[in-house]
Formats: sequence, C-alpha cells, structure tokens
Amino acid sequence: MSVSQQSRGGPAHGTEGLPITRRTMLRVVGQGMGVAAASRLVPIRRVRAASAADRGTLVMAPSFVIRSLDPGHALEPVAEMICHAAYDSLVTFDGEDLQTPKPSLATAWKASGDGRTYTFTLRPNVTFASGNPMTSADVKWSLERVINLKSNPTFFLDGVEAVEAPTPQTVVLRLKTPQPSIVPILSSGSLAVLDSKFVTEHGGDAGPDAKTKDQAEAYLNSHSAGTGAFTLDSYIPNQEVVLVRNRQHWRGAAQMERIVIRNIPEASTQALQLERGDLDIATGLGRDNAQTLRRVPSITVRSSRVATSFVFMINEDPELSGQLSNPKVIQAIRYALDYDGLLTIAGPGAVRMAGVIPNSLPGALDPHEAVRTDREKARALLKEAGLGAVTGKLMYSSDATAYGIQYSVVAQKIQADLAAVGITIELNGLPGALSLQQYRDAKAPALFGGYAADYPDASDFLVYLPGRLVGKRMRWPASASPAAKELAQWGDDAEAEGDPRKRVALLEKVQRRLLEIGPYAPLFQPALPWAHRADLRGVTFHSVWGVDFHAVRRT
Amino acid sequence: MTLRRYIIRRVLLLPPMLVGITLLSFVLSHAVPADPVSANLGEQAAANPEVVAAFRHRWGLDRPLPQQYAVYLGRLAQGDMGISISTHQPVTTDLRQHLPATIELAVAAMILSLLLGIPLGIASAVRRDTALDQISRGGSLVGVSVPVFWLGLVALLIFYARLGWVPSPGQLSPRLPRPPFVTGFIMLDAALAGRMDIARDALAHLALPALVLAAYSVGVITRMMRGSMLDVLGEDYVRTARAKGLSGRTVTLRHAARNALLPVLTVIGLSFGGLLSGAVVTESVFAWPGLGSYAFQSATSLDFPAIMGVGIVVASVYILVNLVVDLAYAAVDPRIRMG
Amino acid sequence: MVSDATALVGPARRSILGRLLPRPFVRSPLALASLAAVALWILVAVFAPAIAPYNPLAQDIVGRLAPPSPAHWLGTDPLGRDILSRILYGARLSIPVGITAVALAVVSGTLIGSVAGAAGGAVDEVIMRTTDLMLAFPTVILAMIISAALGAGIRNSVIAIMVAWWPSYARFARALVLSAREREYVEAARAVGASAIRVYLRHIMVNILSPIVILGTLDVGHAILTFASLSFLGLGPPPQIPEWGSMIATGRDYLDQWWIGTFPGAAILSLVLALNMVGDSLRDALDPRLRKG
Repeated sequence: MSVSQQSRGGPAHGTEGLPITRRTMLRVVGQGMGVAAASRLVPIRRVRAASAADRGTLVMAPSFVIRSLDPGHALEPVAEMICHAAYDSLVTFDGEDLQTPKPSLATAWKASGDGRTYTFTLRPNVTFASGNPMTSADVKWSLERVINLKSNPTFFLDGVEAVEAPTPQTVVLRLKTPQPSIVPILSSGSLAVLDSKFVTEHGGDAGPDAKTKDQAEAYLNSHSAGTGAFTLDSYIPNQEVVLVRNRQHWRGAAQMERIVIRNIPEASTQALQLERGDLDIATGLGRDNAQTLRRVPSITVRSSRVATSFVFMINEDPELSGQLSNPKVIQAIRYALDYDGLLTIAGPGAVRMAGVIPNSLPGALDPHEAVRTDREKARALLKEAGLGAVTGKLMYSSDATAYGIQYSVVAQKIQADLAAVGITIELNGLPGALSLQQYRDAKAPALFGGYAADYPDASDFLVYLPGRLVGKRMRWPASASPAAKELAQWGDDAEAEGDPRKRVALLEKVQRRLLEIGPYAPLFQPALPWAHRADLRGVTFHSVWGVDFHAVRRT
Repeated sequence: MTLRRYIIRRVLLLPPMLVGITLLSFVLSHAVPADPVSANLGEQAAANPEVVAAFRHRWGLDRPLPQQYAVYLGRLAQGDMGISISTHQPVTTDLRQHLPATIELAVAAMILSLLLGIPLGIASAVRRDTALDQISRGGSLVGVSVPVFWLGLVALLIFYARLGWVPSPGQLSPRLPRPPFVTGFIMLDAALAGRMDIARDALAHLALPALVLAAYSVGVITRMMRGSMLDVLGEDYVRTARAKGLSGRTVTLRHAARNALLPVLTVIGLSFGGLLSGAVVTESVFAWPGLGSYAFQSATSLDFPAIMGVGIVVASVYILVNLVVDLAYAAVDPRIRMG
Repeated sequence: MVSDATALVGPARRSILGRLLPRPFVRSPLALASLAAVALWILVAVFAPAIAPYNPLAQDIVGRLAPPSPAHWLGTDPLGRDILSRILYGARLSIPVGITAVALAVVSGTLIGSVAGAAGGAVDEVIMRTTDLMLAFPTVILAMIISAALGAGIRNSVIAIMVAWWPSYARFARALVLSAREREYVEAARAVGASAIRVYLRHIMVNILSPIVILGTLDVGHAILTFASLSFLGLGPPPQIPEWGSMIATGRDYLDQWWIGTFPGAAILSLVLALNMVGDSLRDALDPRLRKG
C-alpha cells in the first residue's frame, strides 16, 4: 500500500497566482488549456499605443475565484486584495514587508502591562466615500460584525473578548489571553473599517444575531463602503471587478483612475496579453512563461517569496496511515525526499525551510538547518524499524495548482522519491472539494499542502502543533503523549510572549521539537513568479493581499 | 393520430418532464459524498462548529433532504432558483450572466455547421465517389473523431500563437470595457450601446471557438445530409421527375434536397446536445465564461443550487429544442406521429 | 451513444460472422487501411511493455520538459517521463475502457429497452420517460456530475459513461423490438404456438442483436473520446497513469512545451478515426439502412 499524498486541501490551493490564505480552499479548476506559444519571439502584432484613458487604467489578471466581496465574508486572496483597495484597516504593512505593522486608520497603539488590553488612537478627519466621518463607533461596529456573522473571517478575532469605543477617537480591544499577534492580525482586509451608518441602512447588522439578521452582503458585493483609495464600481462573478479612484482618500488620491481585475485563467494567455500591452500585471504566469518574458524589454519580471509553507504530513493514527506513522518511518521519509528536485519543481525563487514557519517571518529557523537528502540513512532507518517492505497511501488534490506548482506533479515526485528507498506509495488524487473533505474529516492517511499566512505573524503557523488545527486533522492531540502536551504548552507560551526576542527564541524551540516528535517534513517555501509592464512603478506583491493599487504609478 | 393531438400530447408531457429534471438534478447534486461546507469555508472557519452551523443554516442544509427538495420546488415555482454558494448571487442571475455566452457559441457553431455541412453533404452525394466526395467524407470523419479540447489547443497554437490571426482566448480584449448589460449578448449589447469596436472585437473572439466547436457537428451534418440525399436520389419521385424531363439540377435542388432535409432536422436537435457537451471543454480551452464553465465550477465546488440550476436550464433547453424538431418532423412526415 | 433515431431494423439476417469482413474491406483500400490501423493500435496496447523505449513512470527531473530529440522521440513531460512510452502505454487504458464502457451501456440499455418494448403499457411509459429525462442532459455534463459525485478514477468514469449512454441504446433496442414484433417470422412462430418468451429470445433478440452490436462498435471511438474528456477535466485516473486525456491537460499548463499536449491528442485522433472508419465500412456492408450519411 503506498502512501497517498494528501494535498492540504484549502491552504495554498490557488489558481496560479495569489497566495492562498489558510482560509482559502479553492482548488484550481482545471482551467483553460494554455496556448502552446512555442515561440514567444514571434513578433508582437499591433502593440496598441496606450491612450490617455488606457494610461490611467490598470488591468490585472490574478486568480479569479471570488465568493464574496463583503469583508465580513471574504475568503479568497483576490477578495483580500480588493478589500485592501476599497477599505482600510487599523494597521497595515508597507510593500511586501511582513515584520513591522504601520499605522493606517490607527495612528498609534499601546498594549497594557498584562498584555490583555490594546488601545488604539484613531486618525482624525477621515471620511468614508459616503461622506460620513470615520469614528471609533465604526471600528467597533465593523469588528463586532465580523465576530457575530460567524463566517470565514470570524476566527481572526477569536482571541477578542470585547471591543470598546470609549471616545470617538479611541478603540480598546480586550483580549482573553495575552496575544501580541492581534496587531498584525488587524491588518487584514476582512477586519477593515466599514461605514456603519451606511451599511446599516442597506441591511447591515453587527449585533449578536448578525448571522441571521445581516442582509448587507448583496449590497456590499456591488458597492463598497469604506475609506479606501478606491471604491467598488462593478463586479461580475467569474469575469471582472472594476474599482474606481476615491479622490477624497486620506492618503491623497491614487494615480491610477481605474483598476480592472479580469479573469484570464490561462498562463500563456496572460503572458501574451502582457506582452501586447493589453494587460498590466499578471500573477498567474507560471514560471516557464515568466522565464521567457525576461527577454522582453517592455516587461519587468519579478519573483516574490510568499509566506507559505509546503509541508508533507502523515496521520498519527496507525489505523489510517498504517506503517507510515511509525516514528522511524517518518524520519526515514525526511531523509528520503529529494529536496533539490522538489525545489526544481517549485521553480526559481523557492527555498528550503528548516521548520514549518516560512523564512520571511521572524521566528523561522535558519534554512541551513534543514535536513539534507540522505537515502542511505533513510534505508538504514527503515531497516531499524524492522517492518519489511513499507507501504502507504498519499492523498492529494488532483486538480490543484498553486504558485505555478501542480500538486499532481509534486505528488508523483514524492511517490518516486519514497520508492527509491523502498517505500511504496499509492497515490489517491481527489478533486478539490473531496480532498478537502477528507483532510478536514481527519481521514487523510498522508498528504502535503501549502499553508499560507492569513496574517503576517509566525503564530499563524502554530497550527501544526498537537491539538491545534492541523495537528487535529492529523489526529495528533495534545494528550497523545507527555511530549505532545509539553509542546502544546510551549506553543501557548510563544503566542502570549510579549518580548519579541524571547518570542523568536520560543518559536525556534517549538519548531525544533516539532520536527523531533511530529509527523511533518517541511518541503519548501514557494516564490510566485509574476510580471508587470516596465512603465509601472511601486508595484509590490504582499504575501497576504497581493498588489497595493494605491502605490502603483505609471511613468 | 392527428398533428394536433400529437402536439398536445407532447406539450402536456412537458411539466412532468421538467419536474423529473429537477428531481434528477437534486438527486445527482446531493449524491456527492462531500459536503459543500468544505468547498466553501476556509480552514479555520470550518473548524469552528458555530461557523459551520451558521453556514448550513444560511443555505438550508440543516433540513432533511426531502424538505430541502420541497422548499426548492416551491421557490422554483416562483422563479427563484436559490442563491449560488460559490458566487453568493441568485442562481438566476448567474445563469442570466453565463447563458448568453454559451448560446452565442452554440448558435454560431450550429450556423457554421449548417452553412458548411448541408452544401457539402449535398455536393458530396451528387458527385458521389469523386475527389470532392472523398475529401468531404474524410473531413467529416475527422470532425467526429477528433477530441474537441485538443483541436482547440492546436487551433490556438497555430492561429493565435503562431499566426496571430485571431485574438487571445476569452470573450473580449482586456482593455475594452464590457458593454452595459441589456441582453447579455456582448455583440448585441455593444451594438445597442453604439460601440461597434467592442462588437467587432467580440466577433473576432467568437470566431475560433465557434469553428472548433462546430467541427463535430459539421461532420455529423455532412454525413447525414449525404446519406439522406443518396437515399432520396434513388427514390421513385426523383426518377419520375427526371423522366418528366426536368433538368438534373432542378431535380436535385428542388425535390431531393427538400426531402433530404428531413432527417437533418433530427440531427440538428441531436447535435444541439452534443454542442452543449462540447461547450464544456471548449469553454474551458477558450476561457469562455459560459454555462459550461459555470457547470464545471459548480460541479466541482459542490454548489447544489447552481448544479440544479444548470441541470434544469440545460435539460429544459434540450427538451424544448427536441420538441420543436420533433413537431417539425411530425408535421412533415405523418408516419412519425404514430410513435 | 446512438445518434440516429431513424434507423430501422432490417429483415432477418444471418449473424455477423456469416458475412465475413473481407468483402467491404477488399473493395475499399481506405477501409482496409483503417482496419490495419486499429489492429496496429491493439498490437501496441498488447505489446507496449515490449516496444516502449522507457518505463512510462520513470521520472528524470533533470531531463524534464525536453523537446523531441533522438533520445526522446516525442520529448519529455514536466517530470521527465518519456512521452512516446506514455502514449504507447496509454493505449492499454483507452482501448479496454472504450470497449468496456460501450459494452456495459449496450447490455444494460438493451435489457431495459427490450423490457420496455416487450412489456408495453405503463412499464414502457415509465422507462421511456426516464430515458427522455436522461437524454435531456448533455452527456459530458451528466458524466461530469456523476464523476464528481463518485470521485475520480477509471472505474467511476466508466460508470459515468455507462449511466449517460444506456438510455440511447434502450430507445434503440425498444424501437427494434417493436418493429420485430410485427415481423412475419414472429407471427409465424406465434401461429405455430411458440410461447411468448421463446418468441422473444429466439427470434426477436437474435435479430436485434446485430444492429445493436454494430452501433455499439461504432460508438467505441466515441467512448474513447468521452473518457479522454473526463480525464482532461481531471475526473479520470490518477496522473501518473499514462492516459491521453490527462496528458493533454498537463500540456495545457506548459504552453511553450507544445509536444506535451499535441502528441497525445494525435494518438486519440488516429485511433478514433480508424475506429470510426472501420465502423462505417462495417455498417455500410452489413446494413445499409443504418447508414448515417
């Protein structure tokens, strides 16, 4: 019985493009066949001279599965990107930075001594697109709505006990336990500040029964109600979203007048249209197209490392994973994998991870610590295990592609790697929804998948710990062993630790221990190959929300 | 039975058929072992029982199946097909946005196949066993043998990537705005808005997918036309007409062709279904935002309301088309009415 | 999938074997060539392990995405596997699947349709309305929903095709049974006193089998196409198994490497084309009235 690799349903299921947050479980639907543009050097016909209207319009093609543009229900990365453009949150991050929160609608914040109360000072004189002034009442309303809607973003505020608005310019968050990650969490577009009066007029509700009483989603899917640099002009599901500039934006009006977000599922089509000038930014190119585009002078090719960790996981329950759950087998697997080959599949820019926290975040282990392929050692370990010929199953999502990486290709690679040391893996590819189902039912014998940061903080990746989200899916409760219990406790300590240096030390300790006793083999941190027209400046690709349109300028 | 009774009988069967379609769609869409929760909630959300409960309640999934079906039927009677779990829009809105694209494609493909297939079939039969006949027979055979998704790929490779004769996959060039929604048919809406440049662009984008999709039906129609022409050319009344001294050409076009067209009517109805099937993969290849891609997306994300909506619409269209074809046939050929 | 509803059953014929193949094929060199092509593919399917230059599962990450060369005549795929070998092995899947799917659909459809034709009345109505319903769903969409429901894989794809196609055969079988009932030999048998069952089994079934089998044979190519479509959409076998449709789907993400998607499609085309030509010749020779054109 071979180990079927299970794809981590959900996370990092993305259509070739934006990072997938943990909240995302979109597998790419086998999208259009790309045109085999065998020769990109074919002369480009009719490069259109950009008209004035064209210059002020930015056309982008990201992965385009959207369920909702209502911040209270938003799920996908592209929805996050649109919310980031149309709304503002209390804090934000610059460019592609994941380390230092910057003021946005909050100009300053302070934690209490015991770390359980955070006080935010709001920026004065900010108005919504409707003309209503932004006050702490709006912040309170927006955050409570997220909590009470009981939808996709609710988990962000799990640690929040109460939101208070003592003065129109101050917001106080009371937490259940100390949790310094609350500040980076607040940067999410889902936790943006909505125009409470306006949305309430259109059916919005933030009270305890919001999940049944709130009717604003339909309205928010076609009109935004925020302070952002852009407002939502139109949304046609599966086709396009159009944003227009908000001239009264508090940071000053953006240079771009219109943002058109189009659904162009095929990588090669994106590449060709980018060359022609029909498209300004393409994030779903796949690395082979990106490579070819480097030769084109009017295009700038970029590679952005995303805060996603691809990890191979085995179910701790021997009933499900059979021989694979044997600790020596797990260790053998770590030595058997051909990491260089996997990095080749992941594409240029992808890097090894030593632990489960991506290298972009403070708290990650030094990649040089990562285990090296050693097939001899793997075989020796298997011999020590004394199980004879080891077999297992690997489940994965058969139609998923993320960051240009096809899951089925990775699955087959892993199968071959393990076969080289004598472990026979049977692959079980399921279409997206089914693979996710199996994973969430904790029935996956083994799988791999990418876990993308929902917010810029290492604590997001503690989900691998026993008893936490991924640990539970892999049937590894904190009660599994005294060591697991201890590790779970260390995780809690790391989350609550206020001193940044101590926190990093704790996180490193946690990860090392995780590798000793847990059923994981970190594979790589991917990089997204993407490109934009060379006449654009200020284009960055943030791991959580992609492109910040306010910063984009055309020269 | 008289024509009138035949019509009445067929039309009376429509409502129970449609109900049957809803039942079939319901059974199919709920036969999936997975839960729409997985397909529509994020990781953390799905781990929170309150969130899951809220989700199920919102989409009516916490009621027993027969009740769900009854509720659905009740709403359907009022024209409400529910809200799509993927797009969070009413399914009727989704369908209204997606259906025109597929209809455009199917109609264009059908027109092309008729324009090409009928003359070719006639000429092929008249000049039987000549080079023209051999080529057209060969071509039509290839048409029904080729995988349409592969044909689309190769067509794009040659006509788009290499030659640049057609624009990129999709309905419209990215920089051109979509015309304001009136009918949902881009070319029509663009013309109504006075933007002929958009209409032309949309037509250019329609060309290749329609041709590729037509490949199969051209093959079928050519073969069919040739066959029935051959049949008819051997019939008595043709010989009689010739005996009467009518010129060869007149005989062919007037008598034979008209009679040979009858079976082709049936084929039109049948290939329509084939067109809709082919549309799923063709839309996939050409990034065409039509019903086929909506169907695939719904099927794979376990979007029950959408699956049922698609099933009902597609089946209804198909039933109606076949009804029209059958009625036309019955009107012409009394033998058919006997069933 | 029977696509011609105007076909009628002909008078009683000797079994197919009674009319040997040679005649129609000797007359047309094209038909002969296509028969040879089909035979060649079957040989390929049987002897693939012996003639394929590489193991179709052998990965070579360093040599991945290589264009056609003397070492790899048709190039390599994203995992460095030889495409020619995978195409040869693909025949081992496509041909049996095509035959099996059609066989299952034919058997189930014929049984149900014959029952409908024989029983008449309410049973007939119910069965006919059900087939109407199922025929109203375009095949690929129906197969897609069934595959999505049951999960991907070869077995489920075959089931999906069978479920989608039996109604066509059922209708056809029913029409044949109804026609056959009126034939002289049936009346003669009845007159002699043969029991109803005997009449059906002996006379009617034997006579409807021939056209049904012919139509089934004609549809094998179509079954292969449908299976490839389902694979292309991701509903077929797991990706390491060489299957033409999923190979084309892989090629779709690697547009610059055109050989990945182009050659498997050419394989499908050549096989299905040959099958269709053989089918056409067979039908023309054995029962001209089944001719579609």
